[in-house]
Amino acid sequence: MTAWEDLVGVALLGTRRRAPDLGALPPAVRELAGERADPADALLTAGALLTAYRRAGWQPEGAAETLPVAETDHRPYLPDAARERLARLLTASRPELLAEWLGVVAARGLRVPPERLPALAESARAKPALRGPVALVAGPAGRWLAGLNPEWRFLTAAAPEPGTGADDWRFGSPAQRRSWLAVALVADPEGARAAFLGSWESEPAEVRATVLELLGEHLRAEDEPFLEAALGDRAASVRQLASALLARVPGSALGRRMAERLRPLIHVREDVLEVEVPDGDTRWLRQVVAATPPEFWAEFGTPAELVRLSVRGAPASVLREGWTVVAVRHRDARWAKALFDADPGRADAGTLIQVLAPPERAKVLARLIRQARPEAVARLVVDLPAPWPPEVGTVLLDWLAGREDTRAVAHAAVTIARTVPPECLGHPLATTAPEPGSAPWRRALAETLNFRREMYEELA
Amino acid sequence: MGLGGVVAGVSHARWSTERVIALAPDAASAKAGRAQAAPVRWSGAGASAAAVWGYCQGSGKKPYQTCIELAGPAYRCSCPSRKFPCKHALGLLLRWAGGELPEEPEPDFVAAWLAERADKAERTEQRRESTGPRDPEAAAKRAERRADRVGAGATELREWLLDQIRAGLAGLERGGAEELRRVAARMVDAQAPGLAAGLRRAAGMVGRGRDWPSRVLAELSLLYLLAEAGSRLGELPHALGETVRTRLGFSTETARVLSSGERVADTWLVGGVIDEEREQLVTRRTWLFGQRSGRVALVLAFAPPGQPLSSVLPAGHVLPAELAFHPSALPLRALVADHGPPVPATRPDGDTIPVALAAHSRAMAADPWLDRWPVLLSGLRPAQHRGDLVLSDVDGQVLPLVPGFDPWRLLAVSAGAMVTLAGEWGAAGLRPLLCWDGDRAVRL
Repeated sequence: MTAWEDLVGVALLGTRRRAPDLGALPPAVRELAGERADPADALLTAGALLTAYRRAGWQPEGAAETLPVAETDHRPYLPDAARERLARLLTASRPELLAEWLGVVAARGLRVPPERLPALAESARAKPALRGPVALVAGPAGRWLAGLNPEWRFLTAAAPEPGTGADDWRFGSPAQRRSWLAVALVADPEGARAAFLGSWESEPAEVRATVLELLGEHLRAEDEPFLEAALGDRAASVRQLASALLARVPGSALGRRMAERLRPLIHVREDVLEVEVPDGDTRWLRQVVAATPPEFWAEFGTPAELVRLSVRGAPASVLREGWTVVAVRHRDARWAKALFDADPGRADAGTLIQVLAPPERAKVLARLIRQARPEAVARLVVDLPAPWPPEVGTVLLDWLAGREDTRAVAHAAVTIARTVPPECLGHPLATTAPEPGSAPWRRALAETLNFRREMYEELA
Repeated sequence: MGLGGVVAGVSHARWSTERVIALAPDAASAKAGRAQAAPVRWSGAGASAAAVWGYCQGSGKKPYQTCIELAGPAYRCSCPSRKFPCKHALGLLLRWAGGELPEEPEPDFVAAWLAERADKAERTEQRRESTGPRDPEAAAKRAERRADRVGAGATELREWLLDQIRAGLAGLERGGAEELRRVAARMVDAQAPGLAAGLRRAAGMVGRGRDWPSRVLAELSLLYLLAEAGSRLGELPHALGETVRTRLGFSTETARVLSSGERVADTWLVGGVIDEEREQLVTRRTWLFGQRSGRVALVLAFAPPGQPLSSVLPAGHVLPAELAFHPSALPLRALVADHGPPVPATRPDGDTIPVALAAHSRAMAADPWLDRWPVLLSGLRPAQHRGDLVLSDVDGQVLPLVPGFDPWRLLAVSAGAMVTLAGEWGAAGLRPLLCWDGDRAVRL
């Protein structure tokens, strides 16, 4: 026992029960404390001296295990203005702006100040959508930090190591499994399929649905048997997804079967499209049309001709709904354009419009918003999948500039402000301050657009 | 120790954004200030050599008029906020720091305010010159009365501590914390706040962690030593007497420090600024390292929460300044008598662990009650030791970190490699306050 521990022991017990042993003290302390006749006085004096003695003479222990050193990050640092913007983004609770900023920084190959990495990692921990961009921007320092903090494991995701990643599928969190599969479907299509088929039966329905969603981006003809089997899945959501995907598999048997069923029911005579509907079941008809590949219709006419025909035997809307699904599933621009021309004010314009080529999309949109009510445009804007081509962004900004203050317009402005592509940020709305006393939505719009413009300028 | 910092002689050179953010009275204000830095919120703004001003579009029709006098700095804004500086002033300063404001002649409302301030400062100066100490005899009497009360309090505390040690500290585990706080209140009555603070610290340790008896004994025995020294102040050498008086809680008048305190003019590195809130008072500790003299200094500032604290010493900057030290056996606490403009500090050469610890030992020899000591260290790497994260030098010697220190920013800057850092060294370990990423200072 050291002299100090001995003093503490006596102090706990009380000097009435035991006297302190001054003999074990360092000589200088013993000499001064020894002058005190009262044991309590001697103990407190020795305690004070020894405390100062121990603090002043504190010696570091040796043999620490240093941590490994992170790989060198050769990327140049952000410019100063961008550094300050990052500080603003980290406190602003605008994850969509932060995600955009991170994307640009990653694309430019820039490095963020390292002291911001913990705050970035924490943001990404709370918002999984930020994890990929943060991992990319954080670079080697991020991977090094992830080695020390398991909660930031996603920081290693930017550089998946081939061969070890399959463990992520077997043991990872839902987000890790998802990001592993998304990467693997591109990098190692066979391995990815083997991985999810191996555990298919035991996965919960939402995982099965996720797999199908991701697979939909990378469909191959060989996926057909698997999707056919999924038509009999326990979960309705999985069955629907499987059927939608099957219709898109190039040359799929389902498509062929549907075409065969439809063939005897369709006749075109003198500008009339005649349809026989067995048992009058229009729901069935809509599903069959939706699942039939677009090539089927070639022998009856072009899409533009077909949508203009009058329809007999079934409501025309049933066919159009089926064709809309076909156009979206197969990304068939000709069908989409024909359907738009036939009915510009459609409620599902947002999903259909994405099938068009960008210049065409802007043209259709411009025509659409001239005619549509602000409420319809607001709905359309939300459905319009990003990224928007610059033409589309300009059309929408012009539209906003000329609008009155209504709730629908204010609502559309929120989405437009954050979704217009950077090419549109030279628009007058993004370069000028709103009139004093303008409606809050106008000020917020100008602020977001300006913020984004400056953000791109700083990183240019 | 030599520092690599450079001082430029421009008056009110644009501040760094870090320096502006450090002015914010709290985190919420910093956040609001950043949001306010968007140019579209301002319908006009400008800067002169003496001031920065702007018109901020708030929710009302009439824009707020915001201006900042840079010398103080002092703030004025027509908004209703009760925070100083308000978010508008912070946002405007951020824009100025970002180089966004044009140089312009001061508009009338700014010029008028600046003139008003100059006028007031002059009147205060005159008043100070015309009035000496009001009644030296009464002041001496008051001082004597207080010395008597503190002496009596110190004697009472010694007796109480002796009783505790006779009966055994184990008895404190039950109700001891309240007992210690009760005695602390007695010491406040005896006008010895330094003794009261030590008792409250001990109260916070009782029963916490397995080694509480060791920490409580260390605290109480040092307090015993202080009480003993306090009860025979007259016998102590002058400088030690000043140290003891300070530790007991006697304050030294600013005027006295400025008129008779030791003066050291140097280029000072602001190695760390840390705010601590306790009992409705925010204390700001600012640690300075003299570039040529090798001296260290502690500048304290106090304010109620939400109110601005002195900000002439921004962390991570160097500035030429003349300090006036409080009289003490260990001259450490100081006032800024005069200073030039701060500029960002490049990475200095810090000490090794043995050199820093040797300086700490010498300081403790002069003031055994020393609880925090500034260190500027180079060549430290993060390391593991007995399951704790520590800092280690090339020889594998270990400095522990204070419990509760959030290490992630420091770790991210280091990424395993050597760093230079400034911080406070105390019985609980090292609290890093500032480190360098290349030549850029980073607050921790």
